[in-house]
Amino acid sequence: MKPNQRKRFFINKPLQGHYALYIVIVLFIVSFVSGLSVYMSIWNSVLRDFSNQSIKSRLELSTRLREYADAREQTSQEEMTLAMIKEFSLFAAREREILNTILRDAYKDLFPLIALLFFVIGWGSIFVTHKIAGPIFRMQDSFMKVASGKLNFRIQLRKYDEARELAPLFNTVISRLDRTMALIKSTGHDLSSAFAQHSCPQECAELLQKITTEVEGYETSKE
Amino acid sequence: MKQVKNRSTFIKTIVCFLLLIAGMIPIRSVAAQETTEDLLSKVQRDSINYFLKYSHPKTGLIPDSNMPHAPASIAATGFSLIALVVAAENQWLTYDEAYDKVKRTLFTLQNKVQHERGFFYHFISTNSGKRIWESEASSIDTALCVASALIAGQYFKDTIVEKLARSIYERVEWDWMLNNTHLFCHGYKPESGFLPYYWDTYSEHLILHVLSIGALRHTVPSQCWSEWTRLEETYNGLPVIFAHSGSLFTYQFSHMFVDFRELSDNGIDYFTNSKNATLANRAFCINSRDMHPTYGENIWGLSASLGPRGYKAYGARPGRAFHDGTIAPYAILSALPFCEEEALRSITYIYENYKDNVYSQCGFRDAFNLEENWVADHYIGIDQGITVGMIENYRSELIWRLFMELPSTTRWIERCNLIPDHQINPHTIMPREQEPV
Repeated sequence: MKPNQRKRFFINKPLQGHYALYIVIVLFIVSFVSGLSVYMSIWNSVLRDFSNQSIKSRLELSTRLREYADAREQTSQEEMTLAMIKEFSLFAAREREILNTILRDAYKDLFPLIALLFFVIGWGSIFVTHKIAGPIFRMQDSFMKVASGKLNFRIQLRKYDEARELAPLFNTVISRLDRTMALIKSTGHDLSSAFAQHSCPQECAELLQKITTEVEGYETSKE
Repeated sequence: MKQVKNRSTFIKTIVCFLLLIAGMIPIRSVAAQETTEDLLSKVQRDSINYFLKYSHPKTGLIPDSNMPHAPASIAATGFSLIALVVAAENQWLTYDEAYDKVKRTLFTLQNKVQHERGFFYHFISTNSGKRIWESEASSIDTALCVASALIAGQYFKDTIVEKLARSIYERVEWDWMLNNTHLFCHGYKPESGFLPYYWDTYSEHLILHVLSIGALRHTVPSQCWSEWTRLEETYNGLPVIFAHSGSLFTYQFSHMFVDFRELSDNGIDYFTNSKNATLANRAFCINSRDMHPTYGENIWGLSASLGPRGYKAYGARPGRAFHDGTIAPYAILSALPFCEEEALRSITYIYENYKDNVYSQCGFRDAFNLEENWVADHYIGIDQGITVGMIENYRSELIWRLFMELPSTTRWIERCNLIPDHQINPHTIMPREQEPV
């Protein structure tokens, strides 16, 4: 097994569970809205425009328009058969136009909707990622403060931030370090004063013992 | 003595009765006039109702008919502008209402309606203005629409309406539609090019020449005016430069705009020609009573219209004279400026006897056939429009006046040398009508 290969995929069930839920909800909304829009804009129009009544009315119209042309062009009786073929081709052309119109209108309706969905998803992503990016930022900032020697601060994460249980842990660590460093610092001062006043070695030994006892609780790399 | 007294009383009674009758005659005549005027007003107003009722609320485009899913017709849309002008003139709409509606329609025509070098497609979608039914970019329908737009521009002078109308007119590349000939092609389809039909004999295309010869840009040569054949035939003693179909509308559509009364085309007076054609149409109906007994002195008017077997180019002689007993009331009403007496008598008769069947909320239905007990169940936009315009010309000559004031009309008259000459010519003299056989 490779050293970096994961043994378990659910290392943080609540966190991963939340994110899985967010993704599922977003995908459901997107699919639902897209599906509904496609149905409303395309299939609804197709069902309406290709109803028996509509087709009948278009057949009558194609006949009428052919008759207009015949009246204007003074079509003879011999040309009537040809006119009938033309009438059907006119009807077929109209059917194509209707389908094209439905699709064009559907695209026209769908494009703004897709843009809106992108906006909602984008905004939602920022909102959701902020819940984890916020704590990471706070922790990063805190570690930098510790690195620069500041121990007099504590962190607090918001109610709905992810990994908010890290904050009390971090605060416990920093409190302990704070307490140790404070003790070392004050004991150092006391030792310095004792040496300056040539106090007895007994007193100095007690102070050194105090420091040793305090740092005894830490495990270091050199040990 | 008593006998004398009785006779005197009798004579007095007779005189009184005669005086009473004599006194009633003018009263009855005035009442009849009022009735006719009222009827025309009603028909005009109801016909305008078609354009108000069926126009698209956003684009102002007008469906070809009130058939479900009917496409917008560019000519009917043009005619709606005339209907709005007439409505404003008669105060059936306020000036502002009519102005707003006209402006909306012209804006659509200028910016939304699909066209080919300025020539509008015959049938377009009512809400988008895009070409549908693979229709052709139509020369005559564009001309009818543009002429109507110019009428609106002239009525709402010095406004944006006039600018829009002029812009639509100037955009048309009239010379392109000649397709390298001197005759106007019927139309153009992007898929197959120019249609194989040309306006080569008398028909409703005169308005196309008026606009194209009078245009400042893409003007067509005046030779085009003389290029089409003037076929002449006499029917019932009436000489007519005739259209092949013999349909009355061919003698009416261009005449809604152009006042031909003072114009002479090398001796041809097209106003009288339309009058002769109308009288010939009537005479043809009377003479055809053996075939269709429902025709009569008041039941005539063969013109392209709906019929029991679909839309047909019904007509009389001179011409192909295809008819089946179907009468188009719009053609009778549109004949008012030419044959006032005959048209009024006929339309009053039809209204009084058949109004329950042939008259509805948008005026007279497109056609009826008494023999087959059939009445059109739809209105046709252009037929409604010509009705409104021609009644207005009959009543006030408004459309004629507005159109004849246009500089383009003046240029057409000058370029085609249509200044009236008063030489004796068989067409300028109204021939005596023969009694129908």
